[in-house]
Amino acid sequence: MSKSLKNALKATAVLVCITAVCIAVLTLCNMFFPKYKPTLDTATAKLINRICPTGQSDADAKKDGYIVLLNEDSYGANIASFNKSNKSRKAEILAVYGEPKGDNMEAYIIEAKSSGRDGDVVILTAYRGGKIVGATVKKQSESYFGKLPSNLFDSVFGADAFSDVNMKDIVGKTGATLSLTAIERAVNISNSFAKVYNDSIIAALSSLNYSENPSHEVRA
Amino acid sequence: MNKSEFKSVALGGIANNPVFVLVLGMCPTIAKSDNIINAVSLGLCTAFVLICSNVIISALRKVIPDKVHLPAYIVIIASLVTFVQMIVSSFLPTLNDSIGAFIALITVNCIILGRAEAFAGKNNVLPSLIDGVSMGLGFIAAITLLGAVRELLTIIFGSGFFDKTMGGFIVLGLVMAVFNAIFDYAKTKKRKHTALIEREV
Repeated sequence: MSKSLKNALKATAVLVCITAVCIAVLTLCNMFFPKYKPTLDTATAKLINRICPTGQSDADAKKDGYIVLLNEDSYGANIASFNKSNKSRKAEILAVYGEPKGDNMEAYIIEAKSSGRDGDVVILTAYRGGKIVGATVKKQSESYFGKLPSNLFDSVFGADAFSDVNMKDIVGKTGATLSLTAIERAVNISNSFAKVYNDSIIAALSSLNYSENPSHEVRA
Repeated sequence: MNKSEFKSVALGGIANNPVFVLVLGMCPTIAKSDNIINAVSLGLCTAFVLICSNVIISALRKVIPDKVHLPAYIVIIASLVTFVQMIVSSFLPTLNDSIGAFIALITVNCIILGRAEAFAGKNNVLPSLIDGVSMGLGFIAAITLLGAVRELLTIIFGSGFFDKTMGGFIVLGLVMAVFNAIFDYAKTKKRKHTALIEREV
């Protein structure tokens, strides 16, 4: 075996070893680090009450169970596997909230995220009766977000809940294409989720008998 | 490692400050020094990666063949950055939202690769650790100073200029000029003092 071949093999072996050790350590760390757990915080409840009003004040809506975070087991879904099978859509479902009572009884809200220009854009999309009844941005750190029209979500209100929306065609050129694409992806992945789990989410909301047992909590 | 070598390595963070003297890692320095919290956080993340990469690279320098040392360094640095990203996203989600994108970019930060190439790859573990700590602290100090000045100017003059990139460039230039002027003055004074002592002797 020539010296240069030996050197090449040695170099490759060292690189492979270093890479394998690094991957092994990171995999081990990943197993022990806490995973993302959705929670219904006051800010989220306030946003939900704005896009899909319960008829209660923000504080009461959360406190009295007008807005709840739905446990994925309660409607037979596995969000992680749904996200995995829809990886090509470049967006993820984060949580599902529901309104078991109030003005928009049996409405549900899907929280989804997608990568924009400067980070994740998190969108809340509300559904009722097979239609989108509201949507808003929960979180974003986009540099050019101000270039998007303020009535951006008007284009999706009343739209069919189970098919993709094309916001870029409706809104036109904005100067914040990447941010708009992220929003569109988040809304569309939410629509796909709603298409699959609409009936089971509504059934889960119906089964929550809040009037008889107001202290009952549905949490992840 | 003798006393003068220790002193020269330990003071590297000032004499060869990565931001004000070597002018390395300018992208995250300007982008995330818009306020002091982002600046300190990014500085700490970078310093952690710098210290750990210096130690690991120094320990492995005899094992890594010269021809593949750069890819090996990048793999080590990228793994450390991924580890930092995991910690920040798991335990500090709010911080992850504000500086998350720039944590990933630490991998290609010239300060880290520069120290690995210029120092850690040629020296023992202890001097490399001291160099990492010194350079890391130098970077934290520089980015924090910049963040503090920009935040102060933003409070005084309002947002829209000093918290944006153009304002960042101007503030960086001014702070850099002041730092180098003070450092040169101190160096000249010390040289004059040494020359005076030598003449007296």
